[in-house]
Amino acid sequence: MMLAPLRQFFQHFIALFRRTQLDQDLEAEMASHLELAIEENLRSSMSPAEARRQALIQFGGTQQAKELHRDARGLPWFDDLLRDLRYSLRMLARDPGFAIVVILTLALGVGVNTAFFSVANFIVLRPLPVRDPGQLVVLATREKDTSEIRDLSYADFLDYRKQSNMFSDMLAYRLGFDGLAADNRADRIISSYVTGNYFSLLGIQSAIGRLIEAGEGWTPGADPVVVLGYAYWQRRFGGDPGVVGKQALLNGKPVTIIGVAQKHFPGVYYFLEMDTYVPIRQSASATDSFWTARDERGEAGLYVLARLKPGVSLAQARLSLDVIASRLAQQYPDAERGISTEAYPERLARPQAGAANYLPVLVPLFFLLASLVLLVACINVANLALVRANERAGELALRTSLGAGPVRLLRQLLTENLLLALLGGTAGIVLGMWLASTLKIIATPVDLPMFRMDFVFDWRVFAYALAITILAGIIVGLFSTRILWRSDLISSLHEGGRALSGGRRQNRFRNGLVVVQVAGSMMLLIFAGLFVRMLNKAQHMDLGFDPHPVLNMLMDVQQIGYDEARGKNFYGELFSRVAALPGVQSATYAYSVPFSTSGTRTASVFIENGILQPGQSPPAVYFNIVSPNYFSTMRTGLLRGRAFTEADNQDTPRVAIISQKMAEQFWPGQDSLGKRFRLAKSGTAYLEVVGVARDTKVVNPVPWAIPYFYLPLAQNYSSQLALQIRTSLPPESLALHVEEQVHAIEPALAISNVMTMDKQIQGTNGFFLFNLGAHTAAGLGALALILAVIGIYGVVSYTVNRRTHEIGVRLALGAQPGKILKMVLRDGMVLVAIGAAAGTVVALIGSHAVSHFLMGVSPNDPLTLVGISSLLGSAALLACYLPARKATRIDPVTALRCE
Amino acid sequence: MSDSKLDLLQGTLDLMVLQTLAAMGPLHGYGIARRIEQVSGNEVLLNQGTIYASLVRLQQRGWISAEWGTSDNNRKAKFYSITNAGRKQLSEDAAYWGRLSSVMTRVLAMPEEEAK
Repeated sequence: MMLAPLRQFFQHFIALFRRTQLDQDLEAEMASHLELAIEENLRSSMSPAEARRQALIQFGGTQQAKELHRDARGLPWFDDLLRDLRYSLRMLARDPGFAIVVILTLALGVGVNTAFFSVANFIVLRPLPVRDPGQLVVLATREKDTSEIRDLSYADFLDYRKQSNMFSDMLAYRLGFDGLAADNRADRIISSYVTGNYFSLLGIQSAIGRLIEAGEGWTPGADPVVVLGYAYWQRRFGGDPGVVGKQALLNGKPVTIIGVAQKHFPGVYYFLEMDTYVPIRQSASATDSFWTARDERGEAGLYVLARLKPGVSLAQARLSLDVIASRLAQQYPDAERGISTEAYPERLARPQAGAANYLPVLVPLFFLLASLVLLVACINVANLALVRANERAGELALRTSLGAGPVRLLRQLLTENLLLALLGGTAGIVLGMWLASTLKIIATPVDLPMFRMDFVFDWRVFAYALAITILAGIIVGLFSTRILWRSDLISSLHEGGRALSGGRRQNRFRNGLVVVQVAGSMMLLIFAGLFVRMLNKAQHMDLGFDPHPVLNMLMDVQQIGYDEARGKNFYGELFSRVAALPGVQSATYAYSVPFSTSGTRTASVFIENGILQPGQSPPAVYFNIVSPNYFSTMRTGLLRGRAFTEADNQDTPRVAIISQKMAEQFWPGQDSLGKRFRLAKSGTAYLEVVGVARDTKVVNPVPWAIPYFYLPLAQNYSSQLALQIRTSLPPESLALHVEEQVHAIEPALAISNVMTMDKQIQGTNGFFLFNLGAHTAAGLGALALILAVIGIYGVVSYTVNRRTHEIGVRLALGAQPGKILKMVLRDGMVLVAIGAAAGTVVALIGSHAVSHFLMGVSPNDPLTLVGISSLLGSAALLACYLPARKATRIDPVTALRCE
Repeated sequence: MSDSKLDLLQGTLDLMVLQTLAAMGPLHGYGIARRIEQVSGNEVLLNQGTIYASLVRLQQRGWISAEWGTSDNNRKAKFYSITNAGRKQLSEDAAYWGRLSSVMTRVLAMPEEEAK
């Protein structure tokens, strides 16, 4: 049985929609009532007229009875709401210009915010699609008193896993770009090399077949199995269940496909979708420096994810990690002293622990920008609504005098504002979806096809959009209903509504709004300007090489199982074929190309006769492995010494070329030519410095130089090589011919990252982030400018409107139109100037606070400040000029007759 | 005359209607109003129209039911009758009124000397 109050509400609710029928029923009932009464009165021998009169008196008012009946049976507030809504729609339809501007303005504010939120939602809010994702923490080490966060070494992982009792389990994984060949086709794929407890810790099931199990992965080279990611299985094998048990070659070694992970599980390296999962030490070969140095505690390279025991807090886990860290520091003072191990909530360490340094800053910063947009939009709308409320003062006063209570009027105004907000919010959600999909395109880097950008509008985004829509409605409503708090509402009726316009307080308030709005826009514009300048500066940075026109492509012959001898043969033959192609000016091999996502290698450098303090670790330096014509192909100048030659081979002394920065840093004040260093403490030959090259930007386009060195390919074999070709043809057209040559020699070899150097520079490790930031900031800035112009225009035209009478008088008394123009312009521009000045001050404080992010652009960059000021100034001037010109055209006679 | 009539307390009309229906069986709105007037000896200030708000309220609570029918003198009218739930409610409300009115009587019967 239904609960009584619920049943009543239900009946009340039904009654609303059966209104007509119920009314008719009541009419009939009342009619029968009166007839019965008249009949009885007639029986007591009244005259027919008197009988009717008495019946009506006894009954009381029929209209009143109907009202009572309706109130009793329905939901009066809901009835009122419907009435308010109908009335609101009528009022808005009467002034569609106002409604459209308000809805569009709110749509902009809500849309931008929602789009931002959908991005932030993806980055830091959406949980991983695994069991109890809130319990997951990422472990990483941090050197005391620095902000550098590093991954764990294998030895550390084993110790922490064994010694900590705050976690129910701990997994580790590495990433690898591999070749997977099956059915005579090779793909370049991205894999996670996972510990055996990976899937069980995460609570992931298999879609088909089985997953990697707890015992697997600990023995080097054992467990030749591979698990496919669901999306890769669909894409590559068409979802064929027969794939289980199939033999394949992973980097040339035979493996068995044992199963497919469950749907919608992309792996835990948040921004990438994994193609395969491999037992962690399966391919731990002798050439993989991470595994050869696995007992070195400084050899970081494992991503570690742990699950907190139920009821254990992050703080408790951190304490226990500290205890273990100090124990390890005593045990291994060389490697572990001064190193702490930290636990970060998984959501704040995406895709890896290092993000914990900047995500908590970056996300709020962008939210601040987005909220500014919403605030400006709200103020704008509030201002317009205020203008309109003033115009409606007469109407409101009339309704008050007809008996509408203040609560009723307040409700009416709030309904109108909420209706506008909801319409604006709905349009905003549509706009936000469009923005998010556009952002997804801008934000997906050209060089990482497996990049996962999933700005889906889930319930969080919709809830957020609804919340800010209602918030906006309330803000606007509160501003525009201020008018009701005025005691002289009635008196305005007598004065044709004008009394409300002139109040000094009212004006100050409205002017304040414009000032705040201009200040907000100014701030956004300055930030946008700095971002754009930053991008511009970065784009024109001297890279140390000439990227145009160079074609790159990447191959790894280990993926088809080549050993060193076959690899050398292959690369040698390919090189001579490519060099013979028309349009090839010069070509070179290199282990990595600048800004590449496929990895840049580092090595620990031990200088000959250099002394390391106890506990001091050798500096890690980025390096490349290149063939002799690398420097001429890339057009990187050599400052001293020589380039590599064919004579630098396995039979001659080992050599290296170092960057200018490395020379300065490692041998300050000395001639670095002839100096020697090696890449291990002992046991390997020293490398002699034979040349010093110009500094180049290779890892990231940052303005400062980093130490870097080059090794000759002939002395340092690498199975993975990038072929870099300087060409006189458009690089894209050359790509096909080169790929033909590769497949003529080895049909099964996967070629990846086929890309011009120009494109590579725009990629993830290149200018991608700058581009993204500049696009976003510029978009926001443009938006702010639009909003500011709408706001200024609205207020100035309102003022002109209100002052029609006064201006008419002035004109009638002989004032020059030019003077009127100047007066209106001055009034408007004074506000703009105050707002712009305030906005500039706040923006400068902000930009100084983040000045180290600015890539060398001064936080008070004069070009930005002057440019933005004149942009805003001229837009504001136009916004003031249009209504001002209207003021000069006021006809004094009409204006005065308006009374 | 109207000055001396009793203003109805909130909710009392509903109770009167329930009692009338319980005592008299199915009745139409006019019949109920008349009956209340007669029993109260014309002491209650009742606009007969207000009875319909009371009737729809009772109906929505499930205490009475309604049906169109024909009166003694062949007029179409809506007849109301009390439901089981209504009877239960009536006995609860009547007990409540009994207690309240006896308390009120005692309180108002307080001798004036003692109040000083």
